[in-house]
Formats: sequence, structure tokens, C-alpha cells
Amino acid sequence: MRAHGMRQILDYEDDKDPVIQDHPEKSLGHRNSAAMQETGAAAEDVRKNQKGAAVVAYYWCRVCKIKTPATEAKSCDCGVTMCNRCWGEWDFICPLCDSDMS
Amino acid sequence: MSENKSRLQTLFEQGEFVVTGEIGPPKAATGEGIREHAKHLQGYCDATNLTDNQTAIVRLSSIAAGIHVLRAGMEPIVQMTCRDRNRIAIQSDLLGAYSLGIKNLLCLTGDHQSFGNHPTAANVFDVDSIQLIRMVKRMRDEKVFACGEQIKHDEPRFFIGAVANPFADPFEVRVYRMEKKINAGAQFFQTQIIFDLERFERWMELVRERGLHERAYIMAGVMPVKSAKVASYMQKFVSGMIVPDDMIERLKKAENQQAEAVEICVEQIKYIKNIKGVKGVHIMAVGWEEIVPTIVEKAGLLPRPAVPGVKVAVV
Repeated sequence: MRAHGMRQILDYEDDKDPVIQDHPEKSLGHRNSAAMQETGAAAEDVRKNQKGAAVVAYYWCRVCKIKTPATEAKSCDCGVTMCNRCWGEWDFICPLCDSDMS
Repeated sequence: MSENKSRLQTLFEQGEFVVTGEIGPPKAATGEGIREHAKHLQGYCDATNLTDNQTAIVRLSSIAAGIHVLRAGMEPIVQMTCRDRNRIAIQSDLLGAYSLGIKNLLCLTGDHQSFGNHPTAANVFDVDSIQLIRMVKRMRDEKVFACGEQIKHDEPRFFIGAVANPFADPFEVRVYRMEKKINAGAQFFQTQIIFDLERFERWMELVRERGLHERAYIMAGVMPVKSAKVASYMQKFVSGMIVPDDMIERLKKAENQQAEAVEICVEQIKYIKNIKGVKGVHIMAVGWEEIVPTIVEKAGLLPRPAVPGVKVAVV
């Protein structure tokens, strides 16, 4: 109500077009991601995908020294961490404690 | 107040050649495996280390693991790293651990989290290993917390341990770092796994030159290397240790590599035992804990001495 009153005052003072202080062409979430503009099930899907992307961890393969997504690497109980390709070179048997990593 | 001393400390003070083992807690909420391992080591080791999220991989806590070891009738050496806790959490955990009957503490910095299974986790390193040692000593001897506030009663009276690596570079600096730890309050040391006996002997010479062997008890770290494959892997991919080529060759040529591994480890222990200033061995049998009794027996370290009057139990 107060904004409306202010608009009236401005109209009155300089007889110009009414001053519009909000921006109806932009949604309230315009500063956030596009996902915020989606509604219902579509928005939920976008948010889920974003969340999933944010938690992917990378392991350092101890052998080839390459940063590998956690989904493509394995870590033995004794601490040996390798990418799946390097595990293959050791026949998926831990080179330190002989655990089966297949 | 001998009843406050740990079995480990009492044995060192009695001049015994001490034997310790190591147990890596599981990545699960169970103490069954720990108790099992502890039973394997009982009567062969005087105490056993419990690692604190070793290689930055989430595991059952070292303090909880220490309680399982106590329940199995063995004495724990709880490891405490600086990576995961600030000084408030460390001191709180120390009070808790001592209240439950844990008397030996091994202070270390800890592996960086980027090499573990939570590489994006925040690290803490509020204090480093030397500051941690000093903090534990002040809690015990001056009865104060790190902030200077008085501990009004029942201060934790830990037997304080630290680690030393004779194989990291620069070689000459290793002894100074050890001396810093002793000045901070370290009473015993466990070294990195030793395969290069010549370099270890040179390091011990430097230790003796500075008289450090008389200020702290030094335990040499050994490891039975199951096969030539394990030895090759360690030589190429495990930093901070030297695996000699001739050891790998010897394992390769052996008909029974596991028997040869035991033989090599026994030889190393016998050799190390005769180096002036070494007061014990720390056996790290990664994933091969069941072999420890055989090694201890073959190395002529049995029977382990009894320590009357020292209670090993959960408080």
C-alpha cells in the first residue's frame, strides 16, 4: 500500500508517466538459475540433476597420478586407491594386501 | 604412581626390547575384526597401534578401536592426527580417551585428505604434530588446556609418542625434526618402515650424535612384505620409503615368497636389535596380521615380559 501511495505522490509532483518500481517482466528468481523458473515436476528434475553433479568426488590414482571420478576408481581397505584401468593392470588384486577388488 | 603408567612405558623403563603391532580399523561400524586381530597379537606384542583414518579414508574411530582392543585384553596406542580436528575437538577427544583407559597416544600430522576417499573435504591442521605433542604434554604436566585454563582435576596422563621418517628428504633435517618433537614432549618414536638398513644405521648415528636415543625410546618400523609384487608396488608408488632392488630380487627368486618374506623380516629385526639406541620394533603387517606371531617367535622375542601391577582394561 505504501508503494502505491508513493506512486501517487510521484505522479502528482511532476505529471510524468507513473514510475514503475518493480519489474513484472522478470520473475522473482531471475538472479538464480533457470531451474528456478521451472515449476512443478520439471523444476524438481533440474534440481536433482544439479545436486547429483555437485557431489561427484575425484580420487587421485596412486599409480597413473590422474584425477579420476570416484565412480571410475576404487579404494581398498588398506588405503590403495587406483583408477579402474590401473586396477586392471594389477588384475583387480590389491598390490599391498592381496584383497580382491573385482 | 606406577599404576598410572601404561604397560608400554613400564616395559621401556625396565629396559625391555619392546614389540608393538598395528591394526587398521575397518570401514564399518563393528569392532569384531579389531578384537579378532588383537587376540592374534596378544602375547606376541606388548601394545598395538590403532590408526586414525589412515590414508585419509573414513574408518571406525581410533579411540573406539582402542576400546575394542582394551576389551580384548590388549594395550592400545591410539593415533591422533591433526587433519580432522581443531584444538577443541582434539582436547575433548583426549579427555574422553583417557577417561576410558587409553594411556598411550601417538601424535602425527596425518595424510592429506586429497589422497583419501573424501578428497574435497575441508582439512583442519589447526595445530601440527609438534604443537599437538606440546599440547598433550602441557595437559599432563602443567595441567592446563591449550588456552591456558587450568584442568582442575583428573588431567590426561598420556605416554606420548611421535613418528620419525629416516627415509624422507632432506635426510639431514630428519634428526632436527625428531629433536623438535622430543623438546615438545615426545617420549617414544616409531619410525617409517625400514628396508634400507644402511640408511637407517646412518640416521641412528646422527640420532646418537645428538644424544636423542637417551632422551626418547626409539622403535624401528618393520613390515613383512608378502611378495615381490608388493615390494615392487611399494618401491614405485609409495612415497617416503626406500625398497632395495636386492630385496625384490630375493623375493622373486624364492620358491615360497611368503616364507622368504618372513625370513627377511626376521633378519631385519635381529639386525635392528643390535643397533645401539633402538629400544624396540613396530611391526606393520598390512593385511597380514596373522603372520606377526610367527615373526616374533622366529626373531627370538618370546616370551613377552609380564608387567605386574599394570591394569589393561576399559575404565
